[in-house]
Amino acid sequence: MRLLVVEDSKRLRDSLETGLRRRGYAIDSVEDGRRGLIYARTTDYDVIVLDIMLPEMDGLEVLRRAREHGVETPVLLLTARDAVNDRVNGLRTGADDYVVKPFAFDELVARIEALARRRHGLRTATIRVGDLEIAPAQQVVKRGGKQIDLKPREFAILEYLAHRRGTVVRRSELEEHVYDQHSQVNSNAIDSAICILRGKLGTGAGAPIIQTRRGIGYVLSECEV
Amino acid sequence: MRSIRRELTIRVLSRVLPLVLVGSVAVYLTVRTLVYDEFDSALKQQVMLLAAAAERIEGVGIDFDYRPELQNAGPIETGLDFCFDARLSDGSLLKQSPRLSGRALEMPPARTGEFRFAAVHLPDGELARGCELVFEPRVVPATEHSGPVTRTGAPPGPVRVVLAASTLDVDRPMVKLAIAEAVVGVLLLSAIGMALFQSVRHGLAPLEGLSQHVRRIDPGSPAGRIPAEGSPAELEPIIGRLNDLIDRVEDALARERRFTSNAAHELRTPISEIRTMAEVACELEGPESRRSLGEIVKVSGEMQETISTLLLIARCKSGTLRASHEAVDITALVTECGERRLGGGSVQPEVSLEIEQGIQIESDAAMIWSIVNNLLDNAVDYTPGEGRIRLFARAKERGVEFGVMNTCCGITKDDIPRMFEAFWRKRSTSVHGSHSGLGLALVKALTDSLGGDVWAHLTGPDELCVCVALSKTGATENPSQLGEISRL
Repeated sequence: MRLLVVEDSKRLRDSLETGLRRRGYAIDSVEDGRRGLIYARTTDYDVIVLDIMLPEMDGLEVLRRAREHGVETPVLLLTARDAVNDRVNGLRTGADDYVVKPFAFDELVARIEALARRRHGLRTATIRVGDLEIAPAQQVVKRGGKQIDLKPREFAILEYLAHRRGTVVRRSELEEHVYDQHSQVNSNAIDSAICILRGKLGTGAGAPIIQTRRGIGYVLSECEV
Repeated sequence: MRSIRRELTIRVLSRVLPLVLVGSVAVYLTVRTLVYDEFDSALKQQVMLLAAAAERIEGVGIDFDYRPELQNAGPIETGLDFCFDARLSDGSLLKQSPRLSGRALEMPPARTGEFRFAAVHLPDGELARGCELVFEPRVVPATEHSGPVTRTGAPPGPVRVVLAASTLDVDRPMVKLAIAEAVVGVLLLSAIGMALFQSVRHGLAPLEGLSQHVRRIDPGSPAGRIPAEGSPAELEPIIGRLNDLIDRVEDALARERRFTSNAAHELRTPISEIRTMAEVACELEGPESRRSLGEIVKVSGEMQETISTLLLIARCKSGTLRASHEAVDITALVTECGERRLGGGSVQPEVSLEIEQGIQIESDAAMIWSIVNNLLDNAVDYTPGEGRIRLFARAKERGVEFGVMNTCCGITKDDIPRMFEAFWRKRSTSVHGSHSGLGLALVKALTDSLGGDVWAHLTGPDELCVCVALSKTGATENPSQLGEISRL
């Protein structure tokens, strides 16, 4: 999944970027509110992590304008101000969650995952497609109870297809949600990754299928559609 | 608890009561005097009649032709019941009223020809008023007198006559008068008391209203002001000053809330950085981990500096930190601070020095060093690369002014009053870095400790001047704690 982190503290921004990337997320990060708004409006992120105290434009203004322009990406606010009216104000402006600094990194990741699940209409932490089980928090995939080793990029593609299971996902959409601004993407990177995924997932009765919709994209389903 | 209303009422009544008492007594005594004057006048008239009735017949004796039945006749009508006693010079009785039964009317002796009045007791014990006259009877030749003589062979000398009448008919009304005055006095005092109480309550109503307004003010969050319209002139200064004080309290509470909120924010951000870096570093290995840990150490150092600065500001404000009193060469000190920033012209922004020569004052060199450096740090942080900074120092009649003028963007007049608050920054940002947001707050606290003044103003649309003024003698008692202050 792809996240946008808008945080003006370079140390915190770098740490979040490093930690979240290690958890398999594609991360775009910016240091001011104006650029944050531009990124939020031009890219379909899975979750936006937004600091409130930002230069150029504060986080609540970024949020308000993003929502006005139809950005429906879940937003998690980060701030050092924990007064009730600050939290209420943030949530009423359109935020989906609120984390007060200092925070536990694991908690931040858990909240990001919860927001992502909500976005894709999932209620449990484990995504099941047929006999395939995907646990995003643990970055673990099992089929029929047997763990399958996937690389981070492969896992990210499978996770996104699983979130959108039954729906055709365009190649460009996959690229947008799996790669960040720092990634160098080859034109057939997605196709190669899909091919490898199919091999690792295996075949046989009950095996979920990644189908190709020529000229459109891919769809993950429990059986052939 | 004291009550103005009660005290005022009691005070006025305590002054009115003696007046009412004195007035009543004066009226009583005046009436009594007038009545007794009339009484005495009547007695005197009768005594004169008695005197006129006595004749000394030459060579014979004294005739006293006084007929009591005529006392109420003629031009003089008194309505009084008299009794009289006339005696010769040897004290023997000449004539007296039968009622006296031979007893004398005792009165202090009078001089001849003089009327004397006094209280006497009648034989039956009744209180009476007496009038005494000692006189020489009219001498009549024996040939001109006919008829018997009251006393033959009377010795020569004056005759003493005492006339007395009961005062019962006078005393009874006087008693009634006294009682009536007492009753009227009590009623009068009660009426005055009630009227006074009402008047005082009405008069103090504005004060009561003011008291109600003040009671409704919440000390924790004062809102609203006391209305001055329609208030008496005596209360206007009080209301004006109270409203001023409420303004100050409101400002102070707002500043305190801002400070608390800002302080919490400023400390939480670096702690958040430390925590996140540490948690991520736990998952890293090798150079990445070392880099994170190195950053953690830096952040810790910055937090330590922030806390130290906060403590120093607190000590300045509480008066714990005392400035020393030594000769300070301002010219040399400010020049040295400035030259450290010049860097051979390659440092952006451009820093120039405009420092007068020979400026000396008595003050605390370490504090002034800290002030100048903090002003420069602030200016360097907020001046854009293409801007310029001017460090100045000039002698004034009573001391010195020094400070910094720098190019700045976006500072408005509304920002000026808040620039010296702790953690205030123009930009809404959580960046901590090397700038704690405490520089100007520390400058103010140190300047106040030195007994000086610091202010900021816009010298142009994009130029800010922060100026410090110190007197030649400065403020001092004990040496400063140099290790604590220097080079912050």
